Amino acid sequence: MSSYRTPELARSLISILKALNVDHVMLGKDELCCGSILLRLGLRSEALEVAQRTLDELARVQASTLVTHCPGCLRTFKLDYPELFDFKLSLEMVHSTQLILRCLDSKELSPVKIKAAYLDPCHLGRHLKVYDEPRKLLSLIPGLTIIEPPEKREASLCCGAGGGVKSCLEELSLTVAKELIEYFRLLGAEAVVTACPFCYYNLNEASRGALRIVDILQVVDASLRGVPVEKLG
Amino acid sequence: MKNWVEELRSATLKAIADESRRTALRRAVESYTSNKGKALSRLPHLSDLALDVRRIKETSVERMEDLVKEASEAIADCNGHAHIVRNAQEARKIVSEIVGEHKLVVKSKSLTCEEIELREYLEDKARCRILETDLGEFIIQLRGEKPTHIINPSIHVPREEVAKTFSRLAGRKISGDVEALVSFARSYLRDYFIKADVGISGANAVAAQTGTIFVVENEGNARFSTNAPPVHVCVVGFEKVVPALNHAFKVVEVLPAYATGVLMSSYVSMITGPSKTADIEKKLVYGVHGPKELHVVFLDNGRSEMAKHPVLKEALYCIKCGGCLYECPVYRVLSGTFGHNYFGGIGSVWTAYTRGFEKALFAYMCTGCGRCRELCPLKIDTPRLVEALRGELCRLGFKHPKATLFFDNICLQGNPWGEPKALRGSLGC
Repeated sequence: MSSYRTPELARSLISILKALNVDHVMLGKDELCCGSILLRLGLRSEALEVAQRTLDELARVQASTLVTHCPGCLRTFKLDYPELFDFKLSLEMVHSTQLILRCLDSKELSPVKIKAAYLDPCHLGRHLKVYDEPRKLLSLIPGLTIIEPPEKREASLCCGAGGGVKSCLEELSLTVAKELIEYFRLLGAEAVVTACPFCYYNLNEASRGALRIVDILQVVDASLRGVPVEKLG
Repeated sequence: MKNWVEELRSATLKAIADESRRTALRRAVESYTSNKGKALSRLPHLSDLALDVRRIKETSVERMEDLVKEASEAIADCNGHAHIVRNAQEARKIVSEIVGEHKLVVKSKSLTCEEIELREYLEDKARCRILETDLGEFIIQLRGEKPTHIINPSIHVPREEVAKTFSRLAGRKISGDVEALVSFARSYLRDYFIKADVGISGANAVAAQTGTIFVVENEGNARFSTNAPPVHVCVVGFEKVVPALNHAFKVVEVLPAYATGVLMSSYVSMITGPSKTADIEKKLVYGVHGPKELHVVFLDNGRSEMAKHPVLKEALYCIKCGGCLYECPVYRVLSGTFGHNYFGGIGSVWTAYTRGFEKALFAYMCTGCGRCRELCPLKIDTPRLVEALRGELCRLGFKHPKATLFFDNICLQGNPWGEPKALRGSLGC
């Protein structure tokens, strides 16, 4: 998702990994889709075929840790592969926010002055139970004010892009996103911070400037580089 | 005829454009979430009790057929009549035979009756007059609409529209004040309860051991419909039967807070056989102030098939509180369009088995966000069910064309959109 639809997030992740001296490798043009979209739409045997090829690619690079920013990919690797296909990946699987938090050490962080609400992405929160690391990471950024909405963590609202709906019923995805943006606007948020390229993409499309939508990677990248989020490019 | 993919999209667009529906939904959701929050904070034990109910449902569904037989025998023992039917057609036929032709029927809200389109059948085939007595059902019956929520069937109708509907019926202006609207419904329906030949209801639980049916409600119309007429017909799905009274009590204790945000429903009617007395010389006579005849129709209609599916059987545990719908981000936008008799993600599984898989294509409207699972008292894993159902739909020829396209693209370019591979490599590593 990030490589094609939200390249700015992929660039921010690479920039962060470099700043944190994380020894990393990308699969580049040989990288395959994790197959999540096929699973969500009921194509299990096709997803299995894709999963097998993806695992071969992963084995080729001999990494110790697999990091994804897309929570949907992570959920697919971590939960669906073992449960549905009995594939057990020997490498550690983490979300970008978990890895960044672990490697941040005492890196100097510049202020990012935004009053934002954090949106728990469905795959990251409810499906993978990662609620705390993104919050912890955001709490380390100086100048950033995080608003916790009443409907958060297990009860957080959906951006509308999941389950293949963004592809199959685009208008429905956008309407759900607009409702969510209105909800955050009424809470007094100046921006929404999410940690998922699908949320980021869909909310940006729906918002059309009504509310600023940023990703946690952009916030961290901006803070590490000491530049405003909008100047990240 | 448009293909199903286009139909799904045009239904979605139509619902999205309906501002009045969204207004009504927003009001209902706000009121529900606030009330439920208050009720749950005063009943902190409910979340554990709900998991107990889940275990009861798990074991009951495993032996559904036996429990239905046991319940039927118990009902017969107390001079009631039990009927076990396999499908909607059989159910309609048997109820129609019991009710007879040209009869006046008062009916309380029942999803199961809706599932078999009982009202329409009795009206068309047996030329009966059927009055829906639940306020929400009454409203949509008058408007010639279908329910859009399992607990709150007229959730999509704002008060201003209710006033117009009632004014037409009354032939005079009824104010849009909610209390005035309720008062009109009360006075209009009152005489019909007494005059009716038959009362029809559903049930929220059945205790097999004693043959006791439990009917939970707030308005008092179900109690009236099941008590005032000389004949009571109850239509209930196989999955509602639990082993004994103590199990049914647990279902009834969990249901109200999640269904309507009350600590306990105003009324729980427990009905074990027809009304009876032995006050005169100990001679047993049936039909004193309550019905002389009780018929319980146990409906399979796909439930046994559902119980055989390793994943989808979980949908049978649902106690139909409807809480997941209020909490669903998609339902909040689409309401009744996100369903067909049964609504939302879990509703797609119910529709598939009770109405046919071709009616369950609204499963593609679910974003799989899992909010329903977290807020479901029984923690039913609806996203998992929806994915499994979509798998079945694909096997039956309802594969979404986008899914096929995505697979082909992944095979060719490594990504679902068919973007050139080189783009992915261009990010620099």
